[in-house]
Amino acid sequence: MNRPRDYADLARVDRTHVSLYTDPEVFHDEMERIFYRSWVYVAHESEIPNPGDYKTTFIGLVPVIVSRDLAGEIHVLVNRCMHRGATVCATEKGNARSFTCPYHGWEFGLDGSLAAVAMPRGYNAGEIDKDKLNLVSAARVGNYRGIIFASLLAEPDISLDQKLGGVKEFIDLYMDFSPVGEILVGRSGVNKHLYEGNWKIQVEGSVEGYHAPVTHATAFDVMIRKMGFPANYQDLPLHGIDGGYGNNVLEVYRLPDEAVFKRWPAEFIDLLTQAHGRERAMEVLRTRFNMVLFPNFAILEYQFRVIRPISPERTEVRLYHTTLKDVPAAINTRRVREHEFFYGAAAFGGPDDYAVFDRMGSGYHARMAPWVYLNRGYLSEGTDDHGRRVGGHTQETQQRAPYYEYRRLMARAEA
Amino acid sequence: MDRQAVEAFLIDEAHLIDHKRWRDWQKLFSADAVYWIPSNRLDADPTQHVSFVYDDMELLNERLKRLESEFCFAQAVPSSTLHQISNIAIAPGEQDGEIAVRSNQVIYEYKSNSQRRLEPVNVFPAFCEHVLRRGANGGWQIRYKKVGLLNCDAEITNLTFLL
Repeated sequence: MNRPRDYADLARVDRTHVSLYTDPEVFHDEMERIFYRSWVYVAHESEIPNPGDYKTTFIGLVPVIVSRDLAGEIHVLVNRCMHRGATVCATEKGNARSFTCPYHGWEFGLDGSLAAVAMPRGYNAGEIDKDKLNLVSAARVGNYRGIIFASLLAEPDISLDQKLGGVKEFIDLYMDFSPVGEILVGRSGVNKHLYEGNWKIQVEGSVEGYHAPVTHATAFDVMIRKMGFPANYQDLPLHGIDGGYGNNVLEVYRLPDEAVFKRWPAEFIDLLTQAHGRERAMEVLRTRFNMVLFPNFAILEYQFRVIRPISPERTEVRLYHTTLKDVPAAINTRRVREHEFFYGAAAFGGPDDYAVFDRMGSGYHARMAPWVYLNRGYLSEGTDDHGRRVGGHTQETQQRAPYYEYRRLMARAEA
Repeated sequence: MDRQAVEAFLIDEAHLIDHKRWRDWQKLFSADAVYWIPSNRLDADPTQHVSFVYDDMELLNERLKRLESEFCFAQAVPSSTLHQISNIAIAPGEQDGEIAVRSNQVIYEYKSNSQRRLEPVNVFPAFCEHVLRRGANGGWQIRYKKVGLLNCDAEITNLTFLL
């Protein structure tokens, strides 16, 4: 049906074509080849801690339920009654024993199995086979440190272990900010945003080291004057890292030890030291980074960021604030205050990004200027000890990274 | 302070915001005041839950500086607002000499002079709470202002104007 597109030509190593951000047929291919057939973020375990807990979300355009059954097992179910197609759950989150369609009373268990239909005697023998009418389950569900990923329609061609291999050390650093290595996601707030532009704009924008002093001039002014943020941000020896399979990392700062002591109370440093050992505790506290797990997920300082494509030129982004398990309340209060300064609709940073994203969405209709350049630092890019592509933090190695995986997945024919 | 005087105070406050007299508006607040716009839930504990705004007067001052600068890109096309105030109820405050005021306020926001065109009028209905007390000069001051948006849990991308 679709004209075959040469995605390697449209998503080049150092630039992308504007049609990737506007064309409905490209969007269709992305849903089929990336969102429905590779690892996609769906939830964090702490959002559904108890038996019967569920949250609803989306994989691409498909509404899904992430549930925990009474035995504690997690399921990712397509939220679509197998009879006539209404969603079987309408709420964002909650606790339930089953999901019942409001149209004809078809009831599905927490694992998606069809338990009952209303007025069953109206069906003759052979008209419905209940065993074949369970909710569609994701083909594969995986979990790393509580982060739940799913592949909807097909077994992914790489394991979750492979997918995350190049960035696990950063996920571990994020979790080890808690003495028990666990975080709580979304209970302390969720910022909900929409912008009129393609989802990849936010993928690129989540690890943007170049824009910060410009777009965020007003936020940086306050951060430098009052929050101890380094004034020589652009000269710091920090990196952008291609973590493989589309994942990538932007190092935001590395604090010298004396700055760690200034920034965090001694009791908190001691708490982490007792839990993880001195060097590990210091490493956790020194490092700050933004990380993208391609295609729809990013971890930034105090947030899980979930990118939801709605249409080629419309995207929802949710920032799930994270708190640390088993720390003094004052430490989490600080995570609340610092997040809220920069992120959220009224904050000093985030709204400027979304204003820019809207303007990119508008500018991408100028087809006489078809290329989006991501070539900053391309010629000086190197590799680190782990063999990962690496560049300067204000260059664009980390933003080129998703497109290696993009080309790999988009070259696959649909099943 | 009777109900009529409280109403006049709220109308005056809204007038200062809606006519962009932000520094005059700022002067209505006491030095220890809090300006709070909760997100997700109106009953959330602001020390453990992210808010849209949870400003002490130092941060509010930075907010105004940001709005006055030419680098607040979320306001590259500036917002204009209109406050409609109703359902005023007053009660004694928790501390001596304070008045607790509830009001319903509908805040309309519009961006004129946008190249994008087709800009909607955005509507933000809110349960507002003010705590007022006498300042040193005898006039009334805002010690606490909470703007509880009806849609505080909605997809809201740009609230970078004053409510």
